[in-house]
Amino acid sequence: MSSTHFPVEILYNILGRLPVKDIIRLRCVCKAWRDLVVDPEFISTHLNLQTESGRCLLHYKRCFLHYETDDRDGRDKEYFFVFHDGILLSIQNLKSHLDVTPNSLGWKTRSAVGFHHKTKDYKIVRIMYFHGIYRAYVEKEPPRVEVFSLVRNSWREVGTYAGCCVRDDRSTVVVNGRVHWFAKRTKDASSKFILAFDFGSENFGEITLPNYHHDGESQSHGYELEISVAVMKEYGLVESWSRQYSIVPNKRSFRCLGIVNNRDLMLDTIDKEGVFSYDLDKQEYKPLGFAEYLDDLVPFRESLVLYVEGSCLTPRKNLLVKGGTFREEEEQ
Amino acid sequence: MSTPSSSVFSYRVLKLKSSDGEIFEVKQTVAVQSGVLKQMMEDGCTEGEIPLNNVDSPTLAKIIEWCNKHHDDDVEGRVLSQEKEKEKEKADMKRWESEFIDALNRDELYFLLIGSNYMNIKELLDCAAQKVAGMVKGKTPEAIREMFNIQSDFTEEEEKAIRKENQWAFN
Repeated sequence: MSSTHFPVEILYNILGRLPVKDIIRLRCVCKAWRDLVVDPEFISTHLNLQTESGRCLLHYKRCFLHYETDDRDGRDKEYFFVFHDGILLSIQNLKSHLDVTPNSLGWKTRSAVGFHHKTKDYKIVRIMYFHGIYRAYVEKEPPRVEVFSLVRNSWREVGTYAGCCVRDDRSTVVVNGRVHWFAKRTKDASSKFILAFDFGSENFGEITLPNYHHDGESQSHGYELEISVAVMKEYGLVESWSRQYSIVPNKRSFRCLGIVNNRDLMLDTIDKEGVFSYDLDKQEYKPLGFAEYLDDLVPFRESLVLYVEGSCLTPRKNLLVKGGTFREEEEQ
Repeated sequence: MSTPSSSVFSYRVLKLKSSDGEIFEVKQTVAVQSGVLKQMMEDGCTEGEIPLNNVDSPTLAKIIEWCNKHHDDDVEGRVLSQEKEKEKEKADMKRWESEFIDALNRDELYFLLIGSNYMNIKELLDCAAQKVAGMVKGKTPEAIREMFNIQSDFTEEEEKAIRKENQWAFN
């Protein structure tokens, strides 16, 4: 096998399937391979080829994996870790980049990050609730919705989305350029639906849940937790919801943390071994070897997309985004 | 030109000529999996022998074996009413694919990559690329150079510097 005779697209197709660690190690194979990690074409190929990798991050004792506007510990300790499409974005010293309104302290926020493919821009959306996320309060005073753009390097208010509240932060899912949360109407407590925010148009939308369970997620039978997994086979098409699995785990679980690899259900159990993965196809349990209480568990995939000092080196050939404009790298 | 749905059209064959001059006959319904051949059919220029200068006969035989397995001519007639049946068929196909790819040696795999890329058969290309990626994963740079027959163009110092800079990836 000789890579010198390989068309470059074949090489990219192969190497783009590797974990980031392998790609970094292979930088010392030769000069051409060294420069792969900064080649926008390769970054883009890699991003497209990294699908479900089976990786996930554990959100544990509230250590770093969450967006915190809490300022009590001073500026030095501020970290901003957010997920979208499985991409983990970490920004240190948040305040220097993001102008967080001082008034936001004490507000309850729901936030998520998305990458907008058209503008090649990372955006953060946050829904800010003034008095906590209780229906009566939210009803009285609708939340404020703001969007931060890394290209613009500023927050912008995009209005409000009244009439519903996002109680369950663990349900955050980013797919198809939109972030999705389970939400409830302020007027009718029983109606749960999916609230979607589009990072491109910066508009909200709603998706109806399948109707075989009220909450669409889980239902308690005493100690037994029945878990149904429903799949929306065609994005946005409510008729395409279909129930894929319905199980009552024999481990004493009290929570379903999520799904990894489209196949492994992650169950928090009262078993002394703690978190188990349950393979839905093989119907096998496997302990994760993590017995501590978990706040959350987030599947992720890796990306080589670079974020450097207020600018994004984007997966688009020779383009560096800075200050809201695209310009050719050669023109610098 | 007859319509694509007519059986006369469906069973017409293309004559593919490998780089070493061997002729392979392939049904049009099978050949559409190749983006290149599909385009030629749409343009109506598939008369006579179609030379594939980048694909030798053992590789072309493999490619045609893949396409024959994947063409859905016989599936169309049957009604797969059960979801489960579909799932099973998918699983069987996955197994067949991995057996097919695993049976190839390095050189065969290499030529298959070149051939499927040249003929634009995306599924086969992806399957082969995934296989090679699996072979690359976890290997040292030295092993990869040997595998891909690459000569290092670094000086000793340069290579040391890269290793130092990316130390975490070597642990």
